Amino acid sequence: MRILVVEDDPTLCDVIARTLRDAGHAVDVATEGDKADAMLALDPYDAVVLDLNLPGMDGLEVLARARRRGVAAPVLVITARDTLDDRIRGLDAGSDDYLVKPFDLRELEARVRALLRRGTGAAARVEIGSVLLDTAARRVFVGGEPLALPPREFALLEALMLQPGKVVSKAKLATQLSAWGDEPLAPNALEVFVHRLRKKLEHAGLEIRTMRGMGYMIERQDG
Amino acid sequence: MAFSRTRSDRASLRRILLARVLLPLVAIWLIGAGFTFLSTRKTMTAAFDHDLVDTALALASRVRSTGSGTEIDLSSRALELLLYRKDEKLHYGIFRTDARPVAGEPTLPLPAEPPPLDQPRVYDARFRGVPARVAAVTILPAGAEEPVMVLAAETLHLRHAAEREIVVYALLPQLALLLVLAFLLRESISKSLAPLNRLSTEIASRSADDLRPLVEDPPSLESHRIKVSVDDLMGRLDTSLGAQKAFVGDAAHQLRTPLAGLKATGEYALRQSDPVAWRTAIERMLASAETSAHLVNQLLALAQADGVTAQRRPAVACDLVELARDRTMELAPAALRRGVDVEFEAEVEPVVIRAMPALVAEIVANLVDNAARYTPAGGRVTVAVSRTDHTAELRVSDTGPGIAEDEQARVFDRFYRGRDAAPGGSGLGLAIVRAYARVMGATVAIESAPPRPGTTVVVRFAGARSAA
Repeated sequence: MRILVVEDDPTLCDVIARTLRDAGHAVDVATEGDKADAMLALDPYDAVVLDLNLPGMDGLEVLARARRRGVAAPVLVITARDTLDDRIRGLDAGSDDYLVKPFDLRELEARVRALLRRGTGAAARVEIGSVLLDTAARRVFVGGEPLALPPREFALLEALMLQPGKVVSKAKLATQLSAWGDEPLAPNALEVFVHRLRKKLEHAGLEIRTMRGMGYMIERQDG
Repeated sequence: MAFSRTRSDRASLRRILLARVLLPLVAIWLIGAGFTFLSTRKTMTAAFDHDLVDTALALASRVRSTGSGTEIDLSSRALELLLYRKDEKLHYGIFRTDARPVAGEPTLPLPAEPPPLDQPRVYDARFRGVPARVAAVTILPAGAEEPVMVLAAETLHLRHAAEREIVVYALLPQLALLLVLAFLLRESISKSLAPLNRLSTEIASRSADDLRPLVEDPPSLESHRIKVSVDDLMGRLDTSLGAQKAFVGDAAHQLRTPLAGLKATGEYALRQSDPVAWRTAIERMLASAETSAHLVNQLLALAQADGVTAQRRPAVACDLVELARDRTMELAPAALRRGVDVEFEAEVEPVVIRAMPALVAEIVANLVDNAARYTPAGGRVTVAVSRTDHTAELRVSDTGPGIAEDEQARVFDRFYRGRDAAPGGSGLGLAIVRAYARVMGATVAIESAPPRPGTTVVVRFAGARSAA
């Protein structure tokens, strides 16, 4: 994938570019707004990481101009400004995501990955532990072997695996489950489904944690 | 900037005052003068008429009826004297009741009807092309069989002259007095308002950081009050600005420490040649950077609290349960990584309060972050929302060491980190919670009784309902 990184701080720019190159992408950099504007006009990129506070042309201006020209590449805005107004202005100008400095490098990588998925429309394949979930094909593999799951359990696993390391609320999970099947969900149905999933995914290198009062979270189990 | 000469769409107080006093004064004066003039003229007219009637009656008393007709029994000299007026001559005439002239001026204007016997009448008419006043009396001369009318006429010349005199000798002096009064009023008002102008000028000339009390102190009560209020406001601003400057200074100093650690560790690492040592150094540097970042975020959050109060964002109806749960869900993974379990409890929902959702979320975030930091691995943080009557409660509890009673009040102070402070904290978390709570009219309290483990921070919101 071709990615453009626009950031005026040399240290930050360097480390972002290196990280993305290590992940296998082709990375171009720009340290000024005017240069970024010119580069966006010349070459197509699959994703853009854009700092807002740039010398010369301001980041939002670069973004607005690119969108006017019809550049459709997804843009991740990174910035020190974190008020609601700033976020809204960024989104209105055409950005797709917003990350506040200082950020975790892993967070940046994950968000760029998410943007790239959006851009190419590639099927989401999520792997945690030895479990591989293919959302497009609606199939689960554990240690390479396919695992048959009824639709509701699959929907539950999918909802959890698409947000690894994040708590998914009971309300949201219940909504996902009730989309499948004609009968309404019994009150404890969610717990029952989680229990069944846990049994099927024992020793698969991941754990479904109960977050009391909130929901569930899936994460890789080490050891 | 000379305020008294600034062109503005506002009317000057001086002008308003002058207008409000002078215009009624002038109007009243004019009405008074009008009445004076009219009543004086009436009296004067009566006097002139009286004189005219007397002349007519005097003439009438001398009318004789002789064999050769009717005539006035007066020598021409006496007649002349009787008819003499300064700058004027009266005219007389005697007429039969059928309007036939008998003596005197035959062209005198006659009344429409002869007046009744011995009852003189005065009327306006025109004589020889000019307005005139005529007195007519009907008498029956001695020895006559028929009555005759005796007329005495004068032009209005003398009357008009007298009117002019009234104006000059009575009204004009009064007008002069009125003008003097107006002048004195204007001076007096200007003098009274001058201190206000000086006050404005002094305030305008102050630079933004000069908040000392004003020098100008107007003598009048209302203006003095303005000065006192302005001084008071400036005093409050001074205190507030002073606090802000102190805060910024403190913040900068606070940041220096983790940055110093960062720098020193980097320098140390460069002296090493062992990859293991490098790795350790880098991990420590990362920790320092995290601390700095955390501090900066907290500082911004605190600054925002002041900004929020200043902007007066409106409170909306929101569900405390939903806000607290969503934010807790976001923070739970980080706490779990520290080995701290996170739980959420809400017996009933929704619990609706009037608040600012962003601030409530930040309160939850700070409390959970604090609790997680101060809880050793294996411990638990519990976030609970409940409602009792009209009070909503947000409780964040941990199983950490607790906060000693003598420290409980101070933990809310900025940059205060307790005796058992966990590394990496900014000392601002609770200060932010208190600042945000204050903006929304909520209270914050600590429940902790060491050596019993655990601390609970309770945030109470008033005006809670069970539905939106």
